[in-house]
Amino acid sequence: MAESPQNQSANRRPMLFVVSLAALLVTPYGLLLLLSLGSGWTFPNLRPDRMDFAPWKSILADRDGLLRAMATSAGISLIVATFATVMGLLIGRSLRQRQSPLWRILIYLPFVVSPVIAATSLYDLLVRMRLAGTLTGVVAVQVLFATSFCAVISFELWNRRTDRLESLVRSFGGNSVAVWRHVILPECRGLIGVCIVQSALYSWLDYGLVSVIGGGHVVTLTTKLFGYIREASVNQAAMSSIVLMTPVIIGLSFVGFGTLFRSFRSRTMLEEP
Amino acid sequence: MGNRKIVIHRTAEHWFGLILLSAVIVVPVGWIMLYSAAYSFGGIGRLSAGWTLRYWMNGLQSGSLASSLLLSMAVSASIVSFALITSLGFVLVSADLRDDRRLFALLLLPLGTPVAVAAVVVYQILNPGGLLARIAFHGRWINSPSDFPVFVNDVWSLGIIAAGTFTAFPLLTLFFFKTWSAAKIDKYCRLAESLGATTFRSRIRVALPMLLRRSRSMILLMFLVNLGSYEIPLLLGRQSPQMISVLTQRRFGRFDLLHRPQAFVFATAYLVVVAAGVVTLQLGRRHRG
Repeated sequence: MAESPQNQSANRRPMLFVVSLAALLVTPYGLLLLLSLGSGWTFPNLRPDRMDFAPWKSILADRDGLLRAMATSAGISLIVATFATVMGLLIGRSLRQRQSPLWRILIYLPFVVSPVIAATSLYDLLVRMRLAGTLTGVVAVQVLFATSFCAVISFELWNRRTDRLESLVRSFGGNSVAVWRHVILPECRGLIGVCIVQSALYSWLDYGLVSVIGGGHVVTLTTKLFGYIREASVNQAAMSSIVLMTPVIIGLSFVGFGTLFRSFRSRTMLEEP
Repeated sequence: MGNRKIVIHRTAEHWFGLILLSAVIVVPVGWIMLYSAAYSFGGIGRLSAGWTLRYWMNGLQSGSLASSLLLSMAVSASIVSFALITSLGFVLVSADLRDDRRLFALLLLPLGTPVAVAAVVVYQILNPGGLLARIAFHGRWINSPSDFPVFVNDVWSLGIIAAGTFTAFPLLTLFFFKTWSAAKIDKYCRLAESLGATTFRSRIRVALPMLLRRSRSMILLMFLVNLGSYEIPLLLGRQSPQMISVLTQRRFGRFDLLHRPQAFVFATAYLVVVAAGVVTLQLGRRHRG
């Protein structure tokens, strides 16, 4: 693109926007970080009362079970991500074969129910199945929502090239195992990655389902965070917010840059005659 | 019709997928809907005294159902409008930044902020003892925290709206940038400009309607997500009226079992409202082709 003087002045104006936007977006996180570094925050002080790194020390000393809560959160999200990705992929794939829009509407069903309201309605059923207040119960309900996300992702982002390759393998006599080995796993690597990251993050961040179904027996990072907020321990809440956010940022940057890379690759592929 | 399409093999695996769909998604969600409807009409439950309209009448007459639903809709609509205005304004002014990786990295931070954390941060900034109040105190605009205007747990739900807008803004911005590239809006703008329109006019009359047209389902989805949001109003909302998720959960959580049918009245009403929204979304989509 030609760089005319007019174009350059047009470029400088957004820079001002970006800088002010950056200030607006970064300030809250600066505050979180600052608060997590000390203890106490009495009124007119802009900094914590004592800068003693107490919240972070308490994590390492594992005084109030935060490490345990982190491990529980991570474990639940790994299990949920595995189940949801596999089932979502299978569901999305079989929906590709259906022309009727009725089936398509069905995968959007969980979007209709607010998670907290769903958990409230499922609670009695889970009590009868002796799953309320257990890890299994929390995983089961989270899988319901996460599977729906994965089914939607794999249905909407499915590549028609995969269908053609599958058709090819089948016409050469390959069975389902061959299709999965030679077509789906290599072709849908990006899709599977997005599904895993999305469902793991969903489970990692969930508070509504864990608090209702877990009923206080399942302690995760989010229930810890809300516990700190209820106790009004500002510094602990800030610290656990940062702990909660970090994997999300990492996961999203993987997905985000992965998508950028993939769109770049498909563009170059399309340009070939 | 079938001849020109790719030959599709219906194997056992496809049937397995459909069975999974029914078992994992359809049956539980169907259970949720039927159970909450039956409970709200008194048909089931530990203390059920037979089918009755009492709980619905109660919810409708006391006004708590209507006020909660209205509040949820008003708050959700304001969040979506504020997020739309800011992100559209930003995208229209600086559309040339859409491939900038630095901007993407910058938006990643709020994009990756869980709603619970957004609620915590907004509370720490806006509450009468929070960051803004402290800055105002050092600037000698106020003398004590009680002089600071109420922004959280307030009548106008300003705290909820601020936190919701903060989480919705980055997603909408990325979506508009992506739409801008996908719909090749640049070309249309350049065409309008070569026909004599000013840059401002081409953005307002060409780019803006194109973006809005393509984002209809995204906007409705965002409205629904905010309608059912729980963590933000839990921290930043008032005791009464409450947003629908918080209200349902509070009624359900009480130990008095007599309140439970009431909770399910709220749950069912919410389901009906949202289902109407989703059906509109899907119908609109089919209409567009």
